[in-house]
Amino acid sequence: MNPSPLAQPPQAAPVPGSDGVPDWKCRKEGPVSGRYEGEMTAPTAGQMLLDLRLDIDPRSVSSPVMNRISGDLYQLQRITVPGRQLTTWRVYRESWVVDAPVVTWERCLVTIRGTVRFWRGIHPQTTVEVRVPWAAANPVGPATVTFAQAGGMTASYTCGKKSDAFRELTLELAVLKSVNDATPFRMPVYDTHSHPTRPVDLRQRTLTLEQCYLDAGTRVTIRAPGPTIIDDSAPPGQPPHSGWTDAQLHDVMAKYFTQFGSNWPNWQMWGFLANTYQQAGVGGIMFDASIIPNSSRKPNEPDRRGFAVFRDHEWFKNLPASAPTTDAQSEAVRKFLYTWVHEAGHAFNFLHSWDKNRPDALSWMNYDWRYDQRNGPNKFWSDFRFRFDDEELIHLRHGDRPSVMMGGDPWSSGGHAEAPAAAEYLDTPPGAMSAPEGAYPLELTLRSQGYFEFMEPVSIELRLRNVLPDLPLSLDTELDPALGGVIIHIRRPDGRIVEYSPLLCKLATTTPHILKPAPAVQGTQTGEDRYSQEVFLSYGKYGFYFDDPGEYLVRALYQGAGDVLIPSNSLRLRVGHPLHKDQDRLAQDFFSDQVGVNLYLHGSRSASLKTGTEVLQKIADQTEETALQAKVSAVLAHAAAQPLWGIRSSPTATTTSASEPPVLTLTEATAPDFKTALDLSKTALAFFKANKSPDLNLAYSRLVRQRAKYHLSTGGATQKGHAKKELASLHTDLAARNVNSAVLQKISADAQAIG
Amino acid sequence: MNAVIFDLQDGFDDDEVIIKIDGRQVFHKNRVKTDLRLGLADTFTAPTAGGTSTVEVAVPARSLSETFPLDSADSPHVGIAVCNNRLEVRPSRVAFGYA
Ligand SMILES: [Zn+2]
Repeated sequence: MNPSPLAQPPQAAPVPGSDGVPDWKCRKEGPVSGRYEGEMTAPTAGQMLLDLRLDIDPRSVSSPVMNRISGDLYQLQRITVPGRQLTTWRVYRESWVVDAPVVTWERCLVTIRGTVRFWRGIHPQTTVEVRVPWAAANPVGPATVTFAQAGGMTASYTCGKKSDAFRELTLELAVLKSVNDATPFRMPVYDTHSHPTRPVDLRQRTLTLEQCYLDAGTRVTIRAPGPTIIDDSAPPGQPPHSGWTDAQLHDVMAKYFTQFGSNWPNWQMWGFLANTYQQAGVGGIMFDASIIPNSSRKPNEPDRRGFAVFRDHEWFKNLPASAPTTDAQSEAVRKFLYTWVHEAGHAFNFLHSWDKNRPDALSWMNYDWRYDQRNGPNKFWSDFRFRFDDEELIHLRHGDRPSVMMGGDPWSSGGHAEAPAAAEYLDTPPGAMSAPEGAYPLELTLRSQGYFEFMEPVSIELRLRNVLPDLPLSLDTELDPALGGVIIHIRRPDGRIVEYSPLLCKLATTTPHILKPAPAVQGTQTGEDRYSQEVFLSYGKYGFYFDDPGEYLVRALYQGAGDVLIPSNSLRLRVGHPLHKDQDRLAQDFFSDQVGVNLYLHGSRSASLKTGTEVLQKIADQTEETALQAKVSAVLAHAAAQPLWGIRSSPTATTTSASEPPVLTLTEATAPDFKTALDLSKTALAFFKANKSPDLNLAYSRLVRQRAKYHLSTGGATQKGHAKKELASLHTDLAARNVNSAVLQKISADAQAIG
Repeated sequence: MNAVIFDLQDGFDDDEVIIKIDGRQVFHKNRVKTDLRLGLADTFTAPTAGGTSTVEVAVPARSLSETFPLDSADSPHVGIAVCNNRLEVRPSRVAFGYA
């Protein structure tokens, strides 16, 4: 593909003075291209916010125009607290792009029109019109933006110009002490004419990582005060650690990157200068990717936050301490710059050029030797113009926000703005995978075990926490999706995103729950600032949701009373493969409505669900101790402890006349069998006790409470003692697992109440 | 002693790979998979007798094989990749670099 022209003049030359406005008044101060931001003005002022990117005229001579416009839409949220500043936050909803805008230049105004392509979700056909005026001695803008949907709905925004760049990013740097001691850390600074192998007409200028990314459209700011120096001093006589693995690089990032614990996705990146990688041929790597088997990553960790460059690689042997004086030194500086820009490119979700079917691309994302093998010796550096290719620029500037932003979509999952939205994303609900930004008052966290066995029932913990420092919040804390206050989206291994639909929609009057303010001192949590609930997600209205082995991403949106909208973190979990052939065979029977409803009801003795119960019994009877077996046994125990009710016509209804309906009576058809329930749940109890994963704490607590009830219901002082003993043992186990004091107190209180 | 450094590069996806030099097996692995971040799956060094040897590379499950002469003094580095369902051999005087 030909590189786009470096500069494009406005498509129509201004007509001088025909409207009576003197020419000097129409002098434009800077480009129209850049980033604009502003609130909705109609139909509901202030409800939404638009982050708008216009890419229609040159930002500088070295920044190609891509002739696209794009934007991100946010929902604005505000809470007024008497006597205090307004608390506002925004929730990202979705992004869009106009692939072929029609641009009309006038003397003091440009109008851009086009068809909007939303990256995700289903939308009616939408067009947009953007008008940007300018006047001498004034900044360009503001832009007025009007979206028009087929059917007549319109929405308008007024957006002021914020920057000549399309996106802004902060890069934090780190260097190993041993590397810094050998040669003081210096980011690459390359004069484009310092090496003779270059395009003959290449303009002379000084390139840094910041300049290369500014050309590409992103302003990179290096975090002050400078690189973190990581002490890798080894005991005397021993060399410092080298041959870094992905896991080790990740662990160093977790420890030293000041933004590591921030809310991801985020425009933050970490670049680390180390000595060598485990494979000596590697000059740099974007190590933060979940596709890499890496034991130190938590299952729900985001991707693409950090990369490393290896100073002791052969490529950088000739790096000079200051300006290069030989071709070999220039070559080393050029390769050093290339490696920094290339690795950061991976963090923006770029694949290599050949993996995008563009092996001959003159891009930061190609390899020089691969290009030369196809095009001839030294051809890459003879032709390369120190830029990304057009498709990459379109991704970086106008791509779907989560697929570009660090910590958003996993690496290599998307990142191809040049291709139409992948079919698997078509039913993605807008905003399904977003995070709140700003001063939000509540935090919704999803937690679960990272790995579920094949067929193991999937329940996740939803935790709502007050993050205001000094105000208690009264909230509807019912977190069951069946009650409508929480929406849950599940991204399946095939990339399809589905909304979890509960089997039953419950109607309930909700009791508000008070969440106390967050404690001022970290580590003094009593748990009164939060509320947790475990929610069953395996089965719902449309069947089983976790029936394929592979990786799932779960995200929830809390929509409490009023207009509050709080998205959760995205929880990554894996479902394993069948352990053996028998299990594979059993799956046929397991993934049936009979079993699904049974699990949904947490066990049932209903004759109509007997087939399902038999399948569950088969699993409970298996000898191997698995999470699947433990959870299924708990379900069967719960069922055994339930009475089964029947409806009968009253036998004493003597007065019934033909015109009156018979009187119906609810009778207990089968009495609860607590002894069986206790037997059935014995192995499950042993399993939860032995498996110390904090993800199983809720299931463990629930089972012990369940069993305490069975013990008490069978009556007798011995049984009372058993119940107390099991609760005490739960208390000890959970205390050892650092569960917060509110939960522990509740367990103690329950034990004391037994008497 | 002469040696050749083999780099198994792009296109491998959990493949069994067998490499022989002059009929002697020097490499056999079952799950060779390209790391997309680097375009590299595996790397290993094989001793050679010097002069020109015959190298055979096979990916049996895909019925791919390639036999080629190699002068280890001339090309001490060999990249091997699977491209468009063909084995591609990339001899090189200098080491490959990855980023
Ligand atoms: Zn790379």
